[in-house]
Amino acid sequence: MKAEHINPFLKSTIETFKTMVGLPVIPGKLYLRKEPNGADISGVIGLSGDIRGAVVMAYPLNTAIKISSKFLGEEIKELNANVADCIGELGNIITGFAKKDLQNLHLSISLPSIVRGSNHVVDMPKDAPVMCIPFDSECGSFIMEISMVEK
Amino acid sequence: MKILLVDDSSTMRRIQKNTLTSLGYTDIIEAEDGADALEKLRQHPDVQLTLMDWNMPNMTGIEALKAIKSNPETKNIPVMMVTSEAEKTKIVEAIQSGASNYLVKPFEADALKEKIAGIVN
Repeated sequence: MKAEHINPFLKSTIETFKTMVGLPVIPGKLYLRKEPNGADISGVIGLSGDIRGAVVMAYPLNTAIKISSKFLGEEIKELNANVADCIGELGNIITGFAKKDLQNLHLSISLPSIVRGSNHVVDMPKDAPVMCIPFDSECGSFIMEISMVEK
Repeated sequence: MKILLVDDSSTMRRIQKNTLTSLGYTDIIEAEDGADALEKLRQHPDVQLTLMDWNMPNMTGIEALKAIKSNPETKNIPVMMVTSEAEKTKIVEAIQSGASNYLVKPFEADALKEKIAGIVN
């Protein structure tokens, strides 16, 4: 996986949270996934085209609820369909916006899927590493996981 | 002015509806995909503007746009695409298919306001 394929997702995440949620997010140091990231809810977007892979936006429960509340502009107190829809839509916007800087890959993106469960792991293509980008914000931390395999 | 808001995400419909309401547009109906949008336009011939997402199940936004523009009864209704599809080829395809304007997600409320004003005026 090349840095030039990761950077658009990094940039898009910062821009999407700033513009749509009104939430500055600060990226941390990239690392390879070796164990579960402590996610309780994830938005999953499949990638196809000249590569195959996926982008997973993985959130602890409290972070997901706080971000969804800020995104919708109304207080949400528990994990519900609104939180799932918010998490899916944020993944959709982030991936769609990143795609414009990856036009050489002829990417198509899937509609978002939601995975729930305490400390779950979303399986990725077995022959590719999973890069993790941690983000911190006033609503809590979350992680973007990216895996891509060139065809 | 009656506005039809088309997006499969209830979150995005709610956020756009709140923005439109704050701008003074309160007569808003919603559809959750392209097929639903065509049905809503049949039911509400007084719709004066449609805001259309691109990636939706059942019928995509671009398919719905083409259907609206090929129907004599709906072809004069302005359609603005509001989508995360930001590639130039997609924008060109939408405009060539009859879209009146194009707004890329993520967007700020002011951008939505300006684009709508550009169509309405």
